Amino acid sequence: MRTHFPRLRFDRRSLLRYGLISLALVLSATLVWAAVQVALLDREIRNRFSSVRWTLPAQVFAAPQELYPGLNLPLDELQHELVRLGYRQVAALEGPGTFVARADALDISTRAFAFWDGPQQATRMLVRGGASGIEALSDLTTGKDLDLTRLDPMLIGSIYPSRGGEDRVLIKLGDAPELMVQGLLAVEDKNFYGHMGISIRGIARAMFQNITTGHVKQGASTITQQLVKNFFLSSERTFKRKFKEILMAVLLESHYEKDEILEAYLNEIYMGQDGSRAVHGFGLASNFYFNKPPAELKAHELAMLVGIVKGPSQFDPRRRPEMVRERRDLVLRIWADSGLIRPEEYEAAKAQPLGISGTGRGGVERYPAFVQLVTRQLKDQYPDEALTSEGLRIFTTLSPRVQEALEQRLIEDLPALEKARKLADGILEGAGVVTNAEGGEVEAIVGGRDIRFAGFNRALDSKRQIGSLAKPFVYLAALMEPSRYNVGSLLADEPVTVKMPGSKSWSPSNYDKKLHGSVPLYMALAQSYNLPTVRLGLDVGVAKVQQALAGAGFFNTPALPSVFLGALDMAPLDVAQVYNTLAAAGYQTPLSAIREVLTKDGKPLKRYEFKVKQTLPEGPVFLTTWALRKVLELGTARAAYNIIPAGVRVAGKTGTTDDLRDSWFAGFSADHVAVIWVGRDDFKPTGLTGANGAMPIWARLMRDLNVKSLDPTPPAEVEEALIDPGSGLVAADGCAGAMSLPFMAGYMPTEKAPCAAGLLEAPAQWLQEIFR
Amino acid sequence: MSVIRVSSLLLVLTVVACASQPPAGQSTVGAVLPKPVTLPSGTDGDITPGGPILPGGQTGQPQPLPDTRPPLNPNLPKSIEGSGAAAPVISLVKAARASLKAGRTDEAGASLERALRIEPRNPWIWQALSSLHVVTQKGEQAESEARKSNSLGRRNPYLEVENWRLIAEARKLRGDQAGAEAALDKHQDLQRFIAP
Repeated sequence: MRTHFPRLRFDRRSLLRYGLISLALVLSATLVWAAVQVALLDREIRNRFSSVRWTLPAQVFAAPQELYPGLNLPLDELQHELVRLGYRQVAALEGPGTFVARADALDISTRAFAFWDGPQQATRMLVRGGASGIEALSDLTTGKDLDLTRLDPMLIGSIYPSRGGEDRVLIKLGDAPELMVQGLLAVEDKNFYGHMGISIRGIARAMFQNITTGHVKQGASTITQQLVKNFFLSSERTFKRKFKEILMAVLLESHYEKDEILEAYLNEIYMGQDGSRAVHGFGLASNFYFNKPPAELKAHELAMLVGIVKGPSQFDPRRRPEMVRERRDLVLRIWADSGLIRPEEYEAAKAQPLGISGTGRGGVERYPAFVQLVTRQLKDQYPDEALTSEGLRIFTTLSPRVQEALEQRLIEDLPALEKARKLADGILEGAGVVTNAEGGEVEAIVGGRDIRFAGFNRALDSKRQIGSLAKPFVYLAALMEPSRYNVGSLLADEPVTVKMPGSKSWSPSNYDKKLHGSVPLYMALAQSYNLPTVRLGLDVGVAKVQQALAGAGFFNTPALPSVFLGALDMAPLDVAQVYNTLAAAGYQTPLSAIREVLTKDGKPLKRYEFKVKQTLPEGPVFLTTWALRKVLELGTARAAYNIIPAGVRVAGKTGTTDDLRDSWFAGFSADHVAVIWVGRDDFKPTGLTGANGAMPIWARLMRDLNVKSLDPTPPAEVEEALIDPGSGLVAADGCAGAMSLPFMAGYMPTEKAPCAAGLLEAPAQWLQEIFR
Repeated sequence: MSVIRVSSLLLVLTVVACASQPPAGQSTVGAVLPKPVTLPSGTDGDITPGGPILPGGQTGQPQPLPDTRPPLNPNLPKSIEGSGAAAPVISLVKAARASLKAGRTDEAGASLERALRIEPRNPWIWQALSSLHVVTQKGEQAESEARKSNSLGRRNPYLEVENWRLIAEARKLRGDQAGAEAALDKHQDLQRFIAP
């Protein structure tokens, strides 16, 4: 024992020394390691915070509504437009975003908007007018007349990453309402401007509770901690993560100003979920829940937003309104107690309903089919990354008014068709496109009867046979040879068999299975007879028909005679393109859905300039359009004039495919081109022709849009002559039955017909007019 | 109400009733179509592709083409300001001119496109677009726009004289010297017409 004791003492001493040395080493290693960790965290924070702080999805705007005297926008529709934009109807004008409605006038306090080509100031204006449109505009402040003004454009969607996509609308701290900022701090972090990123008292309290309960439960986060959590960390609740959060919060505060942190918070904080889209920040939340900009939010609305910050999945205003209202009232109570609002304001705000926007989706995500087209047009030029994170501002051609008119038609008319035809509910599908005739701008798109579904877009991707929609291009090709054909040329409606090398011969028949003898060219088109069309097409040649379609903007026409009857696959958008060229008198404008793309700071990045090129001769296009007017006046679509006012000249064509699988109508007025398709996704027959399926939908749409009549004045190279329709020859003066037909100048028939039907009795003249 | 009015009303009602019948199986409407002059031949005729168009459909022979267009009308307005265009259109075209002068071609284009959406068939706007595109060296487009302006211009010599000058410029841009000279000839003819 004795011999061992000193050794043991020695061992103890050296052990202690070694122990101390090791401890020092371990401690220093830990310190170095911790320092490295802190440095890494610090770098992560600074990188993230100073570069792109938020992924900013591209924002997509509708075309702004222009207002000017003479615009054929009925006042009630203007009022509707204002409501869509989130303007509030009030008894006397308040701030921007409010309006007063009277019998023959609207007072509007418009919002300012920074258009790239010149800012639109916020204006208080008087709009006088009625059911026929706007008569006068004046500035309520100065009393001066206004020529032209435009409303702020509607935000219609955003392009965010498809998985777990964060969506937000940037808000600057200086632009945020005072009550939003102060109210948020009052509820979430009273001492924000005093602490260094963390609240020692809060942490102590939380630690005590966590230790007593045995697991991490209590949040007690400052605004800075919450921001860090949203920015960098997962939602798991561990001590390690909590520690990291505290550390990062302190680091963040050491590098950045309080206001920068607060602004980041306003834009970063999670505020709700819309399908796969995560709603981040107060800017978008304002739009998502109330369909208006933050500046226009009232106390009770601000209180709700501040209230749901606590837990948007739990406090979902649309699913749990009662619970959210309680939370909102609690927030209002806190505000009143801390003097942010006066007692009477508190009482008034508490009495308000939640006031969540009725659309369920704010202004965003209303028009997924249109946004799909926009995305597609952009994808050629911008990588996905740029679209989903750089905050591009995309100004489109969408007209919310036209879009909603089109949606309304499909929503109402498809079920009505099913009912009338005793088809199963939901069996019919439909799609539609509306463009503006001269500018080639896509104004509206519906990709299926489930309007809000951002999936398969039939307007863009459902390529189906177009049937008789192809016929006008056969006739156009013929009319481009004025020495051989004119609108009065008689065509034989007789059977025809086409022998095609290497396949069976083809014997088309008329839809009504009848033969009609010889018919004038325009009538063969108006009545959509197959046999004269095929004969005409064979005579002109497939190549010429291909050229006519190419001139109109479609380049994939197969070189087969069956294309004369529309054995040709096109999507509704393709059809809109070729009919748009007809509507624009042979001047082709590639359809476009975008006007400008701006950077997030509003600097122009790319302008999609209006493009036009004359690709088809005006005279023959006018003659074809004249015949297409006859389709509605006396042909397969004459029932359209039971719906469209008689004085409005429109042109169009029905299309039906084999076994009644597809029902089409395409046509135009002076201002709009519209295409409607109705059919089934499984390609089974619907029992509908173009005339009884798509056509009535089209006609009601044109009626709802209050379209402008086509200009009947022929171009300079076309002249008119009275023709005896029985012979196609020039009618002798005063012959009964003679009708005025347009011809290419210099190619009029010279031979006069004998007055077969006898001289015209004067009183019957007007009757002839009607039949025309 | 006179007897004529009553009978007119009845006739109109008849017409409306006719018009509302379903289209399938209808061969003719009203008095426009003659009765078929020939009866259908056999139902399974073996007709060669490109079969004849009935002789009744013969059209006039192409004649040496005199200018069949209506004569130039010197009484038409000389500029958009006097043309009866809507006030917003005039202010947009003026704004476009100012932007163009300042070299801001994008803004000029945007103003003209706004104007065009208000009055798509106003030939003065098409002319302004054409002169913009001559400046931005888009020859093909400039020529199409000047042509459209001519076509919508209803033989207004004041429009056409400038449009042919623009067409000449546009053709020069595309390297079509002969075409440019032909256009310039038309421009000069029109100048002489306006100020002989």
